[in-house]
Amino acid sequence: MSESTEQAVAADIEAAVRALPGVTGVFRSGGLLAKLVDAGAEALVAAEQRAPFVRWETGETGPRADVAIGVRASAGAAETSARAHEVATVICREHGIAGADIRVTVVHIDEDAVRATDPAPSADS
Amino acid sequence: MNEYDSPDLRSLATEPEDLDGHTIEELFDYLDAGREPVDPSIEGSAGCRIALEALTRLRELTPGLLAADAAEEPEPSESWVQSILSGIALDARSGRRIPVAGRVPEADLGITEGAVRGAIRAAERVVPGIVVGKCRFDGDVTVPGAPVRVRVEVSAPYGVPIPDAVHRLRAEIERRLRTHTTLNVSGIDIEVRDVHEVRNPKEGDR
Repeated sequence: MSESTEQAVAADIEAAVRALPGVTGVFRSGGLLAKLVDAGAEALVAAEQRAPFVRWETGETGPRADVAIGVRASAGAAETSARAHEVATVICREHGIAGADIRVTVVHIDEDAVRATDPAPSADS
Repeated sequence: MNEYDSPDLRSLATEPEDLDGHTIEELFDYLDAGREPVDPSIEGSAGCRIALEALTRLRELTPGLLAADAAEEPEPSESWVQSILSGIALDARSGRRIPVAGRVPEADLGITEGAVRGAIRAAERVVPGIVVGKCRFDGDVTVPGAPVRVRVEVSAPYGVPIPDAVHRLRAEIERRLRTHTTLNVSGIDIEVRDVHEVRNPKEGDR
């Protein structure tokens, strides 16, 4: 799978997960260093050209997607992460990718559900 | 002095290096500015968001309380405010990844320890005036089904019946853990470390 295809799958997963009820946003996956490098690179490009926050890797065991999400407290992390996994699986299937290891992690529970300025964590979307 | 200018709150803060490059002091400044203009690097950081929410609740508690604490505790490092800020900084760290059992057994779902600690801290909302200090998990949260004991330190407001406050807080923490995790919680221990006076800011110093 080409890098552009991987980016397209990751972007589609991010968009689909972000649209789920109860999901407040998609966060950058990876450690601090990876996040800083991504953020630095991102500052140089237009928002619509940025790399997806969903991290897509192809390792020895096959493709793997890392999805880090925020959820509304009222929606529940367990239920919402399960739905995020389901929708990511569907996206992979639509791209003809079978057996991808999809890892969904809730990194933030949003107690402030009515904040008008909620930028859906990526803030640049 | 505005309501957020509690004497030395910033200087009491620790400086966690893992708020995705930000510090507690920067988050205070950001709150002072009303979170405007939106800073993507802060709003896009789960750790910063967890810390911001906790700091907001802490500041809403009343500036008078914070002022009183600073006045009565000449050694800021020992104040309960410092202890709470340390707890908030700890919450902001993602920590371990706690597996979540989903409907599909092979689905790899999880939640960070920091997110769970943040949710537990937010349970303080059910008991006005109570402040959660530190929170920790005893047990291996990374092993599905392993018994985990939750230990929480709190500061209780003066005049509120402590047994009732603790009962309500424990019930709320239990509810939140059930909603957000599939942890096998063997118990929730709440330790009231101190009692603080909640002043009405309009009353001024007494």
